[in-house]
Amino acid sequence: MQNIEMWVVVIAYLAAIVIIGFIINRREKNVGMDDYYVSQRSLPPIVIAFSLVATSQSGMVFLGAPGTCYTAGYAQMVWTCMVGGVLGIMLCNLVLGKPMRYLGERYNSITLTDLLGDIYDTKKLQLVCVITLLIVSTFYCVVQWSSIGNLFYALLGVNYKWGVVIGLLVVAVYSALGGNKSSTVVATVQLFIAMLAVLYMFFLALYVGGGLTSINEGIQKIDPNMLKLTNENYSIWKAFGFLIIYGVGMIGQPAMATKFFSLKNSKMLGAALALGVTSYCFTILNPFAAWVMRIRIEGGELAALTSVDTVIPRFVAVFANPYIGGLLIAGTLSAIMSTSAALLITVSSTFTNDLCAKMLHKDLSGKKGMFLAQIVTLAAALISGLIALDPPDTVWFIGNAAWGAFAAVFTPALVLGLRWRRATKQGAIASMWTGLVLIFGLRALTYSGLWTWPFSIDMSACVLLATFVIHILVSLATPEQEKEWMPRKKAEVLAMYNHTR
Amino acid sequence: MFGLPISTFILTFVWPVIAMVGTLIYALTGNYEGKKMEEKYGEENWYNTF
Repeated sequence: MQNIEMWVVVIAYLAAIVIIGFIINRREKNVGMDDYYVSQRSLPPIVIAFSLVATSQSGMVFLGAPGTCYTAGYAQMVWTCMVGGVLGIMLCNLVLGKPMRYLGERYNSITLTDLLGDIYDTKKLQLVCVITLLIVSTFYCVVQWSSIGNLFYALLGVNYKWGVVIGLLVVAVYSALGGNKSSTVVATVQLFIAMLAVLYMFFLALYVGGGLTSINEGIQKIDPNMLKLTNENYSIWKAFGFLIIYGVGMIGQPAMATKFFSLKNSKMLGAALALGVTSYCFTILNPFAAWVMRIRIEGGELAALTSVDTVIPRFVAVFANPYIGGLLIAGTLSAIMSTSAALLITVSSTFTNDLCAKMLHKDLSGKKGMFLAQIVTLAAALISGLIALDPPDTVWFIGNAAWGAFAAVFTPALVLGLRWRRATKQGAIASMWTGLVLIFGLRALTYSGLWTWPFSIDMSACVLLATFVIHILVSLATPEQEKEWMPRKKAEVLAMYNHTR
Repeated sequence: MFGLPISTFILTFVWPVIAMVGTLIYALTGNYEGKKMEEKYGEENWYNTF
């Protein structure tokens, strides 16, 4: 046990989110899967916005992004977070928000599989959806547990396996107890804590670094390229790739997209958008702390890092007040836990609703469905947690490809399906299977060393663009599909309106 | 600006402020996508309100 003050804050935080789970479980009268997975479609915009942002961030914001910015400089922060991430939050709200809220209620959709089946009027999409959602989400969850284990080890000196068990127990309890509502409400609280932590760290970095100008001058002395948006190590194509995969690709992340099913009213989307963008902007300022560390380390004032991913934990250990350090750990745990909780709900809803109820035609109405949902949420946590205790290489392979896989499989199907009248089910099937096969096929080739990706643009971004093209070409080559849910064209509405006046 | 090239400064500090203020105005004015169309022609025609 390294620091009692930090432990006090972390234990208080973990206890608080479990208590929130209990309170929601007691207050909510969940009587079926609809209540458990989409919270009776009654959540306010702040909960939707904050949980959307919290789910998008995972451990990346506190560990991964500052680590890569430590060496790559401003280009990495700008293209992945400032522009890519902010654009992603905007696109999620503007492209998915309204139609998903509307169609979710109209068809009583609980999962993306439900929604895609309804908008394309086919059950042939179920298989690719269930495979992607179950396998990729489970392994993505493993990566999150592993991040929690590493975090406990790096910051509090707790054994990795115990760290995994603590994180898993807390998330499993509040997610299983309160379902989607508990997971989203806790994510809201978690994002608020993460925002406070990041803002404190940002101002602490400015104070320690002697102001923004002084930090930038220090960076320039180390490597002037770190201040540029593109340079010889960071081409415009690389920037474009990150913009596509983190901006456009955010639309296809199932744990995020399904949040819109729970929104109380589509008229609240404006508020959700503003709150989402604002909270996102306030949680991506960590790289400044990483740069202060780099300046100090290069100047010989601090020992070198064992890994760039430990830059924020080291900053906290060296510069932060222990109580605030505890808050920063809580903020980091929050970012990871909110993502794992959302993934658990995704795995659980896919298994219960898509596989058991829809594909195997089991009657899961009422309390029976609710009970199974809770059991499956716990089972998903247990299985992914057990894998995380000693993860094989395949887990990292699948888990690290998860964002790209979700983006390539679901983004074109959702965007074109909801927004393009001419999109057909054949186009959706072709693009989704192609996305899944390409992502894992190409990654397997590069991972095994048989082939090297020859371009500077991100591979997942290329696959995402390719699936868009395939969806469009196949849709145009197949007969137009009648979509009775899609209202008429504007001219037809105007004509109908004028006729009835 | 603060020791940064102007393009880096704009995308790091100005763009997020524009995004935050822009979306805040969008939310406060209540002009969410197609509000007028929706009020005039009904929520069923949400597709035309973008």
